[in-house]
Amino acid sequence: MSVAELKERHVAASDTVNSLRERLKQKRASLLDTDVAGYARSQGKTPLTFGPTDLVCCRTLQGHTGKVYSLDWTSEKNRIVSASQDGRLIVWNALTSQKTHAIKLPCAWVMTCAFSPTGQSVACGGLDSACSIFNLNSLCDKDGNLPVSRTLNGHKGYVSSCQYVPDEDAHLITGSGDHTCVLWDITTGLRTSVFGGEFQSGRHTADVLSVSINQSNSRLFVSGSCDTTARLWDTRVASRAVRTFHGHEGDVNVVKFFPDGNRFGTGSDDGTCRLFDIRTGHQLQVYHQPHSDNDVPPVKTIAFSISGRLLFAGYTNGDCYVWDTLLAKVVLNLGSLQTSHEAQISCLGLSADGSALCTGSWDTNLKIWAFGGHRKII
Amino acid sequence: MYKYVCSSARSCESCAINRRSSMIYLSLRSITQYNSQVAVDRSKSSEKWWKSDGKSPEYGSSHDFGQGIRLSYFPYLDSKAKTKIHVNIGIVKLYVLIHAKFLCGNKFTSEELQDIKLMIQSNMYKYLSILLYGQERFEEEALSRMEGRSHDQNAEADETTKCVYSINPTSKHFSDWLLDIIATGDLDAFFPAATREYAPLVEEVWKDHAIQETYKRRDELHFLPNAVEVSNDEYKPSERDIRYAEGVTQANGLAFIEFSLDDRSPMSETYTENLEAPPPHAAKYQLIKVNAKGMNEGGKWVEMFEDVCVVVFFVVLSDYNQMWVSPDNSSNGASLQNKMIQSKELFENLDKVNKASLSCCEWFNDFSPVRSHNNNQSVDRQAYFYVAMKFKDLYTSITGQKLFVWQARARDGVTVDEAFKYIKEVLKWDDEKEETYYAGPDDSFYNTDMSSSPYAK
Repeated sequence: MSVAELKERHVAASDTVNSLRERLKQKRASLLDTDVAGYARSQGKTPLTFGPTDLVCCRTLQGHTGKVYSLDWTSEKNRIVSASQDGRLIVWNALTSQKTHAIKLPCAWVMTCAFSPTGQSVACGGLDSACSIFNLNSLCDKDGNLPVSRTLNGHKGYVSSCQYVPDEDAHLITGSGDHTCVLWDITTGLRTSVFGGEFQSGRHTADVLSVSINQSNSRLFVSGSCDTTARLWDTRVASRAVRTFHGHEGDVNVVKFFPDGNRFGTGSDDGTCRLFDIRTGHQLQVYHQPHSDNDVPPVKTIAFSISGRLLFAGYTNGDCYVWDTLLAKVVLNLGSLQTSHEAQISCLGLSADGSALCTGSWDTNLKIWAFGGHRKII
Repeated sequence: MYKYVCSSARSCESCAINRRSSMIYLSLRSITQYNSQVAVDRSKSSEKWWKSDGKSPEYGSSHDFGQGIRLSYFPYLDSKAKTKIHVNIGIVKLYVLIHAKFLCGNKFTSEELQDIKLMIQSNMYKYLSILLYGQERFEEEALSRMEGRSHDQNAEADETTKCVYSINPTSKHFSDWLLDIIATGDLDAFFPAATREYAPLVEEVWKDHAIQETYKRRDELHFLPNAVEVSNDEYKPSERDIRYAEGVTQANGLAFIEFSLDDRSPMSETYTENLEAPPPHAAKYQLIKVNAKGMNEGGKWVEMFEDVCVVVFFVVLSDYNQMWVSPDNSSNGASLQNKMIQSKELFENLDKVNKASLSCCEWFNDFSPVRSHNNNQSVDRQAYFYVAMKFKDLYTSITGQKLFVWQARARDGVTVDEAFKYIKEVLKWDDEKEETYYAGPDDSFYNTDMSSSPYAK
């Protein structure tokens, strides 16, 4: 078969795929009778009332000298690791605001960090296309720096996101600018599986910006990419994505699993957050705040509260909306509070018990927000 | 230092300090006042955030690391002390990074040399494969031409027709094998580990007359004459080899080095009385090489560089007639695209993110030896000015800012040196502008006027 013929067949096949996709989309749309908000309203749910004193900034963690790009909590003990443009990871004790470790990174261009389930190690990755693991219990070298205990090489693009597999200190999943996600075995430093590799089907066609692992079923994880889709993967089956979720109109910057593990939320450059169901594949809800000036700021980071009723979303214009997920209404804008950050919030995370929210911002600080609470007047 | 401390959140509104450069402390006291109106609704897990542990948290103190861990104080990034230069490749390989390393007298460590050696060796196989592709193509062309001629003459076509571009069977075998590996993209898996084994084969291939003929038509490849030497395990890259190598690291990510240049510019030398005194303020630079092949089309990674002072964009002047596979996301697959156009597109994509950068200094790299130019010097210069004007206009039309251009020869240390000095000058002008000190164009050693080009409109 000549090259020209092959090309023709390829074009024809692509057209068929596209038209099938369109039909699927239409069929799906016809099956959707309502969204979450519509249904909740019909059930008589009332929106939450959230006063400015219900979520209060109780700690400001200062110490970074550059923009904070990423943060992660431990699964217990209330410690936070944060990564910043100044080339350092800082491990904080969130309750006392003390810094327990300040790790100088071999490559200053870090984009993501993660705490291991046991809290013994931290991982980080960035423009050096590798994921570096640090053991917090190891001794510092003669310069006072914590040595890298393992470097995970193999990506052909920057590492945009990493997360440890729940309860497994030895495995982590990274998302990368080379369009793939990889499951690593840290003890050997080798790739266990590559999701979306060269000749696999259902692969992302652009940079992967975020990954999120299902806390209740750690075999499943979701990745969000610049190709405007989010994909669900099963770690046992690396050859193809379980499902692809379309709907966004811009790069998907962040994906996060809903606490019960049956749904996940996404945030995108198109300014909306969306809730998808992994079992049916449907888009359940769009969280979109219309703006008067038609300038819709992209969503950079999201997090769910422990019950899932609240969705926190950080935007590039400094807003941080707290959405009522059931009724799709904004109940609070953290960014407008007097005690809030002075620049864009770049990362959000809830503590393991859900009692506090930590926000990291380009103003180099992290802030801890706690719910309600009774204050003893000194 | 420009950090300022405010003792209470309430009084910050009246602070006259620039909000961007102040840190606002929340003392326990202000929280108390603020929360005294809070409803009593308390949840047990939230309580711990409100307990006072007896001592006020030490905000911003870098000495306070519990558990006796010794860590050094964080120096705040003083923007004057460290200027960052971001270097972007375009399609071009970076030579400047290597030169910069030589410039500041840093020697490569033996580990780095080993890495470079491995990289040169594996790159050599890539070049060899290019030659072999070329040889196959030429062979095909020549054979079809010969066939055409023999048909006209009604002569019998010999099945095993050979032409000047046909290589001997052993070499052919090796060539097929190598090209297959390259096609699968698995080159890294085989080389440079297999280098030693294949060295004699490489020599044979190289000596083959067909390859020599092919080589005459492709002169970009520096390493092939020393093919056998390079394949040898004990090969130590010479300085010249390193300059010609395609990069300092094999990684697809970044490479970066820090160095400081002497702060004395040619201008200030006349004012310095004691030339032997150490420079009062050696400006530190960080040079970051980004391999554009690994980072396609100005994706999210470019946002990390929003704060850099200078972005240097390389364009290869001799690329105007070269084609390369373009990263094409459409379903039609990869297509050939003029390399210069690719550079231009990458340049445009960069600007979308770099609107806030202070200045953009652009270099044009000229590969040496230069092909398809007359030896007439003026033609070179005219070509350079023409391309420079095109880019300058493009930049101004996109951002409204000024683009600074410099011509250098990538492998020529002297011109690269001068380019670095030019960048420093540009940065200085910017600083001086901020201090509202106007150095007129006459004072400048370099011509800052865009209209000085013979092609000014």
